[in-house]
Amino acid sequence: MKENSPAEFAVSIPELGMSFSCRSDEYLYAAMRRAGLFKGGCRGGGCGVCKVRLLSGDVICDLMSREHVTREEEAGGYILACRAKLRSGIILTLNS
Amino acid sequence: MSITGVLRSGMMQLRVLDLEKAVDHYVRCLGMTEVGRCADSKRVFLKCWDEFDHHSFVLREAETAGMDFMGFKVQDDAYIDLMAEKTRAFGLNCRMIGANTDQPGYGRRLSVDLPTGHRLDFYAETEMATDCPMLKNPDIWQKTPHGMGVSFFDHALLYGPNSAEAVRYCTEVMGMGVVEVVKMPDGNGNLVTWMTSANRTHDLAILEYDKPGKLHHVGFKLEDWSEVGRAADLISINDIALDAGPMRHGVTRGKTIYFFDPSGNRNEVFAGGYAYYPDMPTREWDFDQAGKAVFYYTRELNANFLTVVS
Repeated sequence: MKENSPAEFAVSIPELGMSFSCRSDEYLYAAMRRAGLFKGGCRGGGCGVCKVRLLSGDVICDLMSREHVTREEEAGGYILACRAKLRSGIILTLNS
Repeated sequence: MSITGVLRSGMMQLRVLDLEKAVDHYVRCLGMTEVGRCADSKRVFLKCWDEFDHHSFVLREAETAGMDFMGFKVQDDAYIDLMAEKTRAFGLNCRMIGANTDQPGYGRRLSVDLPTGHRLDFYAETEMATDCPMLKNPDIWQKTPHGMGVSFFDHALLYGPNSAEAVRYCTEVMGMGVVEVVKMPDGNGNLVTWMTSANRTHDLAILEYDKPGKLHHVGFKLEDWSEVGRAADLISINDIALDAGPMRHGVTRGKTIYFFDPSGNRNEVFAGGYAYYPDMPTREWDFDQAGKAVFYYTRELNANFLTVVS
């Protein structure tokens, strides 16, 4: 029986002219790192270096330090890439 | 050797975003033991296998990561009053916290606000842990250490402004020795200062930084290089976020590895480092040698290690 493979979603960053894919079972950070956009960070939601802003699309986020993404910012689309898993293709900006 | 006054760093309370993931990290992976939880279960008390005190490490579930406070043990309860008097004369805010209140098994504490935005608590009395090193015809351990087998909570590197004044408090009031420094880029003043109350390479290090109250890392002790290598294996096996190492520091000569807990707090487990005595002069590194100071073999600083803090 064929196992279900994770879905693949498109990530687009218009200001960089970049487009790459991200699996549904990995954090957005991993895909952005593969694309050469991040090198470090704590990868646990505590340091804020991977803060980006979602312009469109759907993600689910694990707990993020409210020092780096407040509830108001989260409502405005700000996320920490190390805590986000995609549920659809997304468009994002690094200008946070 | 006679150590008096402030004896050593002894405990830390750390903020974590997900308590159970943090407990799993520090207990199963690092090798600490859960001693208990507070009534509302938002804080968990942990200890390392080679410690006598009731607990040394507290995880508090919170909306931000980072350090709540770090505790130092002093020679006796009367010394706490002397610390209070000297702290107020120095010009820092401080207050007393009652025995067995937020920290079960701990006597009263003097809580001091450092000018870097950090809090240091001083205490004298602690209950002896149930699970502690043997005292009579002692075997090396009673229960075989698990995970990385961290033997004790050793130190922290804190980032914040007004570091020179904080260092002055640590030396003039706490009586700490300055073990090693990295100079500022222009050579005036110190960027990082490593200090000890006893004869470690450091119980506390402070780096000059614009944002207050930040934690670079908390350090735990291992026995030797092979344990550092084993920690590296466990980091990979458990998909823990590796930061740097395994490697050696020029500063302190420590053999070390750095990684992040599930909330983004940086951990260090390390072995070695030289023994410091109060008659030793301070060792100095020029800023342009900072790469070698931190990364003794590869000699290149990286932005992640320097700038990522919680």
